[in-house]
Formats: sequence, structure tokens, C-alpha cells
Amino acid sequence: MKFHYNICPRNCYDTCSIISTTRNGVLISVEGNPKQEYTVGKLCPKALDDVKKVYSPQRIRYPMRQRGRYSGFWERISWDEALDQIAAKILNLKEHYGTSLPLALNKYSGNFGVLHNAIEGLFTGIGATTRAAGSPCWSAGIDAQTLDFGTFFCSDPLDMANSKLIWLWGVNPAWTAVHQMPIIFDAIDRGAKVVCFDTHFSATAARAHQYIQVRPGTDGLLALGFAKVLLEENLIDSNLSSYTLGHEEFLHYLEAEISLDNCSDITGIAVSTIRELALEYGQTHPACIWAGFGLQRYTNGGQTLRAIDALGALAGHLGEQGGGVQYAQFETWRFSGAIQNPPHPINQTERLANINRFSEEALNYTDPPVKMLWISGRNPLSQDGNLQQWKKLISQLDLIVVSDLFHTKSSEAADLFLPVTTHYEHWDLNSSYWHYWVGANEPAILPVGESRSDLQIAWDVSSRLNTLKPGSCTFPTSGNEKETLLRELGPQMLDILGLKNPEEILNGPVRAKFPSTTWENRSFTTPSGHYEFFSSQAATAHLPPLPIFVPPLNPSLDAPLRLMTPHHHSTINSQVYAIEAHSTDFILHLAPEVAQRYDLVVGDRAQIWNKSGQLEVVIQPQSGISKDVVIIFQEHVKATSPLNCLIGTPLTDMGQLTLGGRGFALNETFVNLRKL
Amino acid sequence: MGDWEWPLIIFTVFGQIAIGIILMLWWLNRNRDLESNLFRQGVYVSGGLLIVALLASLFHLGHPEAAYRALAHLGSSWLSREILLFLLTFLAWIYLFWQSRQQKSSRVHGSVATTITTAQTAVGEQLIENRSLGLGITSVLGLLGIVSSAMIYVMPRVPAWNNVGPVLFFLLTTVLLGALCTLVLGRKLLQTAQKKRLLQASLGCTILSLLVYVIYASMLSISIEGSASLNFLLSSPLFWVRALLGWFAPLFLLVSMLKNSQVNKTNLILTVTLLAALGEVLGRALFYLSAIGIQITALF
Amino acid sequence: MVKQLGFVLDVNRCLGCGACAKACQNRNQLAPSLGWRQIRKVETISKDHIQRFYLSTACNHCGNPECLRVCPSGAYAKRRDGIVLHLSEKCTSCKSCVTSCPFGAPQINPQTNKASKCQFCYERLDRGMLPFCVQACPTGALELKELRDIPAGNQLLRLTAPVPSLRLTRPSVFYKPPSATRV
Repeated sequence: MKFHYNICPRNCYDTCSIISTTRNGVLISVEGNPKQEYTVGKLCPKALDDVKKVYSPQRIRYPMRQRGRYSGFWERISWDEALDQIAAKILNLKEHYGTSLPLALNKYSGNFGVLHNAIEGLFTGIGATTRAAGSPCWSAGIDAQTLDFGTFFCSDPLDMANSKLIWLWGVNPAWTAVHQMPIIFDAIDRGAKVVCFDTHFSATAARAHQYIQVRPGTDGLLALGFAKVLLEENLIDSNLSSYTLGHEEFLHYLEAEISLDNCSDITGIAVSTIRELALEYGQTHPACIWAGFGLQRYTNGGQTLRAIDALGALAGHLGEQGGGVQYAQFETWRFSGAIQNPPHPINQTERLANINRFSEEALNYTDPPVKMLWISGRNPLSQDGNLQQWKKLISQLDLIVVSDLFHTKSSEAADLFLPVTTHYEHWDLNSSYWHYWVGANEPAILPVGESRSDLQIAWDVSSRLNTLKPGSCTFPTSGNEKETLLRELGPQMLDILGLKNPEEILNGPVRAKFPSTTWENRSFTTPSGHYEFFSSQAATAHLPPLPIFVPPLNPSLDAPLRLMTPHHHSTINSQVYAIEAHSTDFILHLAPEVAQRYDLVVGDRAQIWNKSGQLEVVIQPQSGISKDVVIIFQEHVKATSPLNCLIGTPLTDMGQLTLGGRGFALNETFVNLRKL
Repeated sequence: MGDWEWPLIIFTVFGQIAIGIILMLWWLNRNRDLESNLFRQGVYVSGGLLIVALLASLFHLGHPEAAYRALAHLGSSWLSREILLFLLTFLAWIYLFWQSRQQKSSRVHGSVATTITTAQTAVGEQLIENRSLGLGITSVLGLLGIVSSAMIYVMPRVPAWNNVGPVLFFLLTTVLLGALCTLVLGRKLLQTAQKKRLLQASLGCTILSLLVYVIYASMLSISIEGSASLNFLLSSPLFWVRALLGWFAPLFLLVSMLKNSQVNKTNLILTVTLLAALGEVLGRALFYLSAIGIQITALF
Repeated sequence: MVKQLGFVLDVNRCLGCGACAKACQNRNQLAPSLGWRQIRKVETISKDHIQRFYLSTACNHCGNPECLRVCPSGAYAKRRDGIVLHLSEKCTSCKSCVTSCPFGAPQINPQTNKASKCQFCYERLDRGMLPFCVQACPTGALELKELRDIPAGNQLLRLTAPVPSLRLTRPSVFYKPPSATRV
């Protein structure tokens, strides 16, 4: 029996440190690493299925070619054939158009391991290409916190155990960050009160002391309402002038524009409750807000986050041990970036298409058009909005390459399928966007079938390109995965981790040497060095300089219900764990009153539809859901039409500043409902 | 909700008919005057039924080849006790079978002889005495076996069963079908008075069965799971077929036969037996189908 | 009995995430249709409170096991530490235990066509390790306890059914009293 360090590379808060066990080269079990203080020896139920997933019969083990898109006629081919076809197409397009811009890459978070950036490196090595830019996830919140604090940086999640009052706002850690729950429970055991704000009574709400049902998209106004109470009750931090900018303007805005009655009408929360909660928040120290990603998937998402930040600042909770407004962080990701930056001309500029409107923007490019698409670590045809545009884009492409573990909705449209390795089969380096631990992932077993790591694939494509046309790609043509990994730990990262040399990372995960509480000395990285209630950066970007309330989109008569599609505990977006278990029906959760309004009872079949598409659902009334929404959790459903057929491409207000593209306002989707 | 437990339905109903017949023969022989042909036929038919029942019971086991192991826990398992008692009943039946062969050979011998010696009479009396003993032992073992069968179902998990119901149902089936089947076998050999007594016994059992069921149903309605069982029963067409075939039709026929002195009408005897048997089989199927286990969801 | 090992579940720490059931299923390599550990959601709604909690239950290793009483082939045994074991080699698959266990713990394993149930990972316990379910619980809600060590006057609850006269089998599983969320 042998043991290996692995790290779960999913787009997930927890990024668990795993110890895998192999016997005779076969992976037999996975357990949490007890030495990593956030994972503490535990894994979530999804990762517990990893062994099954690695050896799943459905896993694609060989390169495959599809005879006709959507035909399902896949034939096994050799890596040589696959690489030849890819390299020839790249060179052919480059020659025909005189530029490599017709090559497009759409990659995101299927595997967040740093070595997966090899695919970006490969594209950079080829020349200027078309890229999906930005993020479908956290963009608006990131920009909001960057405007307010200078960057987005959260405290060590273990710091939450010191809190006396925890507000879980638009976040459902019981399903999406299970390792945070014992920390919250520890705080409860020490006397902390937990309040959960959401649109539906979530598994997290069930473990909280109090649940506040907020009308979707009005959280920003609620935060401003709380701030107004703080102002009225004189619960404002007296030192504000020493570390914030523009608080007078903000207080003036509260005074002039925010009325509690109006706030109550719009948010759906009684004035007395608003007062009670605000007093609690203003009087309890330390008090912590965890603002989830769900909050900011609206056209006003950035403003909402800025309002919540402002509430935290006003009450003096910023920099407080066990306090603060926690969102996410990227400070432990300061890798050298060597892998995605092979030698390339300084003036090489990529054509950046917003990842959330990729198909539309790619179709708009005509000079030259996009002709080849590589999809890696993504499943846009099950996650993106505006599928009609995607269909159009697909029909204009000469070659679509998908690299993945399993067939997906997106691979249905692919010409080539490249089988990739799981994190049990390759070297990698992983950070979390929540906790402070960084670690190396070692291969525990040999690649299953003929699967190859993204890094290996990038080397192989570069090698083939250079064989066919020497000098056509500056990305390395071969190498050593472990050494490539070590090169990512440059001086800055070694300093953050307190390591003398990169090899030390191989001894197990390391916690970044940041203090546990962010902004403890209340010196911020904004242009002014203060917390900015008033942000001139925002003004420059044509955004309101103050955190104000901007209403979300309103439902229309043809589509009166807001559709929410939050994460399910069994999946991460379209990533499925227990592959064999699936349902064939989408379950529509809704308030009993709404069900009654549409004459629906539990188990009824119904249809939801809007301009984009239609979907058959099974009705599940449930208490605690806002009457303004219907919810379909992103479960694995084997149905002919995918959930995203209902989704357009509304964008958030922010995201451009930090990520180069505004975020996906997924929660601004509206549908109509009828009984079938 | 339970399943269609065919092996168990056949085992319990057939086994109960077999023991019921032997019980009736024992009762008919209380004055040592049981007709030898009826004795022989009764033993053969009950034996056949018993063998079918025992074979059917094996099919209930996932591992019939390991059935012998099921005798290992007599201390607390009613199933172990049931199996033991049924095996003993079967052994007792083999003794009866041997008896019926003895009787036959002695009678053949006797028919050839023109005079019967006192020694021969003594041997004959001994035979009749042994026959009575055999019937008694078989009946008692069989009845104990049936009670054990019923006790298997008396358990807290299933409120519908956790009462005296199963024992009464099983015993009533035994007497009812035992009496009717004996009547069918003895339709030409029994005296009118005997037939009348058997019909009266059947009528008594049918009335009792109906009464017990009403009490049972009212007991069921107390618990949630019991009510669920009851709802299932009352809404199942099968239950009403069972009620018609097994209770109301036999009740009507038996009363009219006894009232109108039609006890010798073979057709009526056959009809009422068939109806009652069908009713009991359906009743037994429903017994298994309506089993609803408690749902433990609360804390205390 | 020298000891009585049992499970204690803090329902206020249980997320209903199913890691315990997953770990049991995967690590014991159970057939997909088998679930030795099950999770049930219990929800009570009142005007200003919602109480939602989860009952993670496996075999309760009862003080007075019904399976052991009814099994005709002696395929159940109670160890000195209170663990109720199913001995597969003695099982004739008569299903008595399956129908009589008030908690539905024994299930027929489709691969062996015999009864099967949670064995408390006794081989792991004998080596000083925790059962897979307890080890996997991410919040520490599910614990293994020597029940005789739990002080008297504790506020722990037992499972019951809404049948007043039910003679229960003294399950060796306790629950902390569930709290409710104010809404």
C-alpha cells in the first residue's frame, strides 16, 4: 500500500487536501489529509466518489473522433492521428488567414490546478489567438471588493470561529463548502449567533439560528437599510475618518435616499426585523459577514457587494478578528506564471471575448472569423446562455476539440475528444480561493487508458507543430511535470509560503504566511490607501462612485417568475460525481403559494418557458422559498433539453476591472410556468 | 407495503388444510368408528398437501440448500420452532401413512378369511387405537406448528400483525378448510349427522372469521401504519373479492344448506369448499400485502 | 454485556450531506442497491420556525435485537462490546430479520442473496480505527460512543415511532435534541 498527497482541483471553496491509497498501482481509497487545518481529515460526499470516478466505465480512455457532429458515432483514434489533425488545422488556418486569431480557446475551472494553464501557454506559444476572458462566477463581487479594499482578500476561514455574530449572506456552505460548517458550529458552541440570508431555506439556513428570506436582487438595499439604522442609532465606528474615504458622502446618501419603509417594501423584510438585525450587527463585536457568490449574479451584483462591504465598514467590523466581510481571495495564487507565458512578442495581443457571451462575441469577429475552438475544463453547452448563438458558432467552425474526462453536452458537438487525466494521475499545484493552503498534487497511479495530462497534451501539440513547421510554437515540446510544477513557485510565492526552496512543497500542503485576519491594520490597497466608500475608480469606469441601490431586472408579464439555478450538493456545475446515479426529471422547487397560484401540486408535470427555450419539470412545493422565485438545483439530469436552454446572457454591472469581462447575471433569468 | 409472497401463501394455506383434515379425522374418530376408506383418503390427501406446503416453504428461502440451518435457534425464533414442529408433524404423518397401509393389508387378509378370531379382533382394535393416537399426535403437533407460524408475524415492526390476529386467522383457516375438505372427501362415506356437524363447524368458523376481522380492523385504525394497512385493504378490490368469496357467499350457502337440509348435496359442498378456499388464499395474500412496517422518524 | 458501543448523532451539526452513507457504501464496496446507512430528512414547520434535521441511521446495534430473536439459523450474534453482527455463513436468507427489524436495517444483498447490514466496521474497531461513517463525517456530528460512559441525566433522545405501545428494542443510537431556525 502506498499513500500520496492529492488536492481536489475543483472550482470549490474547500480545495481539499487528500491522501490517496493505492495497492499494486490501483487507487483504492481517498481520505482527507488530517494535517491540513481546513480539510482536517474529512472530504465532502462528492470527493468520496473519486475512486469510482477515476475508474468509471463511462470515462473516455482513448482519443476519439466523431463522424459527424452530434451523431454520437465516435471512433477510437491514436494520439498521433489526433495530434496530426490538430496541428495541421492550426498551421493551415494560420497560413490561410495570416494570423492565429482564428484559433479560439474556451477554458475555465474544470480543473483549477496551475499546470492546466499549459493550454493557455500552448495558445500563447502559437501566437495571438481568440480567448474566453473573464469568469462566469465571481466577477462582480471581485470588482466590488477591489474598488472598496483595493483587492479582494478574505480572512483565513478558521478566523470565523472567533466571531460572535455570523451572517451567511447568499451562501450555502452546507452544500458548497462543508468544511466551513464545523468552524461555524465551533463559533456557535462559543455562543455565536448565526443568521442566514437567502432566497430559499437552504441546508445552511436549517443549521442557523435565524433565516431571513430576502427578495432576490434586493440584498444591496437591505444592507443599506441596515446601514441607515446604524446611522440612526449612532452605531457607526467613530474612527471611520482615519481609515475610510468618502464616508460623509455615503452617510448623506443614506440620510437622503434610504427610507426603511421603502427598504422593507422592496426587500420583503419587516422594518422591525431590519432594526433588530441592524442593532445586533452594530452592537456585536466581532461580527462577520460571509457574502456568497449567489448575491452578485445579478445586473446589480457589484453594487450589492459594495453595499454589504460598506455596511461592514460603517459598523467598524473591517479588520476585526473574527469580523470582516468575507468573499474570496486570490492572494495565494501568486505563481510565477511561467507555464502560460512561453516566449512571445511583447506586442502580441489576444482577442478577448467575454466568456459569458463567448458565442455572440466570437460570431461578431469577422476579420478573421473564429474557425477552430478548443474547449478545456469547460462545458459551455450545458452552462452558457444563448444556445442558439452557440449552435451558429459551431456551424462556422472547422474543428472543435474537447479535452475532458467524460462525454459532455459540449463534446456532442466536438470533432475530437482528447482524454485527460484526473488529479490522481498527474502532477499539479493547487491553491484555494478561500482558505490559505497551497500544495502539490502527486500522481498516485499511472494514467488510465491512454489519457494524458493537459500539460502533456500541450507539449505534444507544440512538438507536432514544430515537427510540421519548425518554430511555429514557442511552448516547450517536452518536459518534466514535477519540474514544471516547481518552476511555478517563484520568489514571491516562496515568500508567501515561507519556503526556502520549491521542493519543500512536496512534503505536504503549506499554509500561506498571511495573518489570519485581513485588513487588520486597516491599511488598504486602494488608490487612497483607505477603505473607499467613495471610489473614483468606479466613477472612471462609469459606475456609481458610492455603493447605492440599483434595482435588479424586473420580471415581465410573459415571464413572471425568476428562475434560480443554484449548485446542488451532488455536483459542481456540470461536474458529476456519482456517474451512475441520475434522474430524468428537473425538479422545480417553489413556494406552496406559487404552486397553488398555478394550480399545481407535488409531483405534477409542468413546463417552464421563456423566449430562449422551454423545459419540462416536476413540481416540488417547499416552505421557505421566496414567492418571487422558482428554483432548479443544478443536479445531474439526463434530459433531452438542458437547463441552460432557458438562459440568456445578462451581464453583471462589474467584472471588467479585475477580470477583463463582466460577470454572468445568471439570477436574472425569468420564466413562465404552466401545468402539463 | 408487502409483496405477493406465493411460497408463504401456499405453505401456510396448504399446511393448514392438511392439518385441518387430520384434526377433523381425529374428531370424527372420537368414537373409534371412522370409516377406514375415509381415513386412508384423508391421510393421503393431507400428506400430499403437506408435502406441497413444505416444498413451497423452501422457495421462500434465498438459500433452500441451507434450510437445515434454520433449526438452529429454537430458543427464541418462532421460525425455528415452526420448522421443527412441521417436520415433526410430517414424521407423525408418516406414522399415519404406515397405519393406513397396515389397515389395508389386514383388511385384505380379513376379507379372505371367513371367520374372525378373537386374536384378529384384538389386532384390529389395537390398529384402531393406534390410528386414533396417530391422528391425535399429528393434530396436536400440527396445531402447535400453525401457532408457531402465526407467532412469526407477531412483531412490533408491523402493527397490523402485532396482535392476536395472526394466530386466530391461521387457526380459523385450519378448522374451516379442514372441515370443508373432509366433507368433500367424505361426501359419500359420512353420515348425514356428521356432515351436519362439519357444516356447522364451517359456518361457525366463517362467522367467527368475519367477527375477528371486524375487531382486527378496528384495532388497526389506532396506529398510523395500521390505518395505512386498513386503507390499503378497504381500497383494494382484491379485499372485496375475498370478502364475497370467503365470507358472504359461504355464509349464505352454509346457512341455506343447513336450513333446507341440503347437507347431502355434493355440488353445494364442492361449491362452498371451493369458494372458501379461494377466499382464504386471497385473504392470506392480502395478509402479506397489507403488512406496513412502522416508519421511525421521530425522536423521544 | 461488558460494553455497549453505539452512535451518537448531533442533529444540530448534521448537514444531511450524506458523507457517512457514501463512505459506508464505497468503502464497504456495497452493491448500488444496498444502503446500510440511510439519511432521512425530518421537517416541522410552524408559524415562525422551521425545524429541519436529518436522521442518519444504520443498524442500531440494539440492546435487545429483534433480528437476533427472530433469526432461525442463529446468524446474528451480539459481541461483548454490544455490536450486533450478522454472520453471513449461517444465513439461509429467510428474510425474517428484514421484515422484523423496526428500523429496516437488514437488507438482502443482491450479490450473495443473503441478509446484510452495518457491522459497525468491527474489523476496523478491532484495529483501533473508527467506523468509515464516523471517520467521514465532515462536521463531527456522528460519533462513536461507549454508551455506558454517557452520564445519566443527559438530554439525548432515542428514535421512536408514532406507535404508543411499541416495544422497542433498545437501539444503541442517541440523538441530541434538534433546534429550530427562526424564520
